[in-house]
Amino acid sequence: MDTQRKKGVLEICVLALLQREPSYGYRIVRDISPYIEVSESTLYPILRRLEAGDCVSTFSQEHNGRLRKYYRIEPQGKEKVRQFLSEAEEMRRIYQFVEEESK
Amino acid sequence: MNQEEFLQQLARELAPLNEEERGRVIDYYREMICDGIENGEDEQKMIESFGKPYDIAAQILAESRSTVQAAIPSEEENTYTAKNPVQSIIIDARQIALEIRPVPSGPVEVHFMPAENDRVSISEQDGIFTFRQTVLYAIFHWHIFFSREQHKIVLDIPESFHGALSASTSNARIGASGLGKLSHVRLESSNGQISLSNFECGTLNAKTSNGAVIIHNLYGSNCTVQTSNGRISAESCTFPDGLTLRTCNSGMFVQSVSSDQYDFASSNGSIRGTVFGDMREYAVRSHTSNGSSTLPPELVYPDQKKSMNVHTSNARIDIRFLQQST
Repeated sequence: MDTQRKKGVLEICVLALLQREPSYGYRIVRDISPYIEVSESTLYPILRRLEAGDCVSTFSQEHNGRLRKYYRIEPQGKEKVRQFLSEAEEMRRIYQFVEEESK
Repeated sequence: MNQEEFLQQLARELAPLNEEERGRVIDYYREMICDGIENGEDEQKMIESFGKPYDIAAQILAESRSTVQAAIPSEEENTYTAKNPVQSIIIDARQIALEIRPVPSGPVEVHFMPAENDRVSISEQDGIFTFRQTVLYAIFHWHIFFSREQHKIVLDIPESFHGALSASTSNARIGASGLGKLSHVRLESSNGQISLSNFECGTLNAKTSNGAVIIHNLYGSNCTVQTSNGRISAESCTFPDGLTLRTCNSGMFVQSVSSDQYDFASSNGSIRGTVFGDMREYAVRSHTSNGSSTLPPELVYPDQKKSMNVHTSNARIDIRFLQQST
């Protein structure tokens, strides 16, 4: 997948994951990896951008004597996921079309 | 490399960032390493898998980059002001409408509110003021696409600016009005209308596709307008050295235009209107198919310094010469 598209898709995957419950960096990487290639270094800019865009907010929680940063989804982030899903139908049609034409 | 070495080196590579941002990155990686170790991962292997500090920093710096070498964007109203004298203006935009307007005095200024997926960069070098805007992740943000009507770049040009302007965008319209006197003007877009009025320039080059070009009350030495699937309308324009209008699958209308070299070309669209001049002074060549024409196919005499070329197909040509009232 080309880089730009991947970044866009990763954003949505992270948001979708956070819809269920807040999570932290290490766990996000682990939970998303089965579905799409993501590394710790790829994730940072995405989390940063989501936070800067008010799609997620952060809070800290103590864990084994250190502070762990958690990410929580915000209404703007939920809206993005909604938008993405509403586009899914159109994207499906487009994929079908491209597939058909490529036979 | 162990944890401390890695984090220290990363912090060094992130020197261009402000302290708060840098701290965020370091905290992120420190936490990642701790969580990994807690889960039985090998510290060295983890650190190796992050990549080289140099590369990590490069990516983070690239993300946060909004390079400002001379102009400073003001947080409140996103005004990008030229700090040095400007001889040439370059606007390089994507998917966004462009409005160019005059201001009585002051510096060259761009007003723009970047949306979440806009990236902006400004530079000033050797009197050239460049404003670049680009869009990220266009495909996955259809809703941003459609809410972009209010979204535009506004360029303010002072009356005192007589330099060159080159502005391009895509999938959007360009409008410029009342600009005073410029040297070379080059405007380019696609899938959008170009609308220009009331200014003077040396040469004018306006190009788009799937959009009309409307020029009104312009004055200069020569003018080339090009579009496709869009009408051209030229009114009260004077370009003695050349007036070239090209489109296809659309009509063309001129009124009270003046030039020594007229070149109007279209297809599947009528070419109509009035031009100033005495037809006898013009070497006239015209052609259409399936349409009437008020112009002769060829009427050329030696010693004619002026020319008129009009070509279309499947449509009529109705061009009349008017004597210009002096």
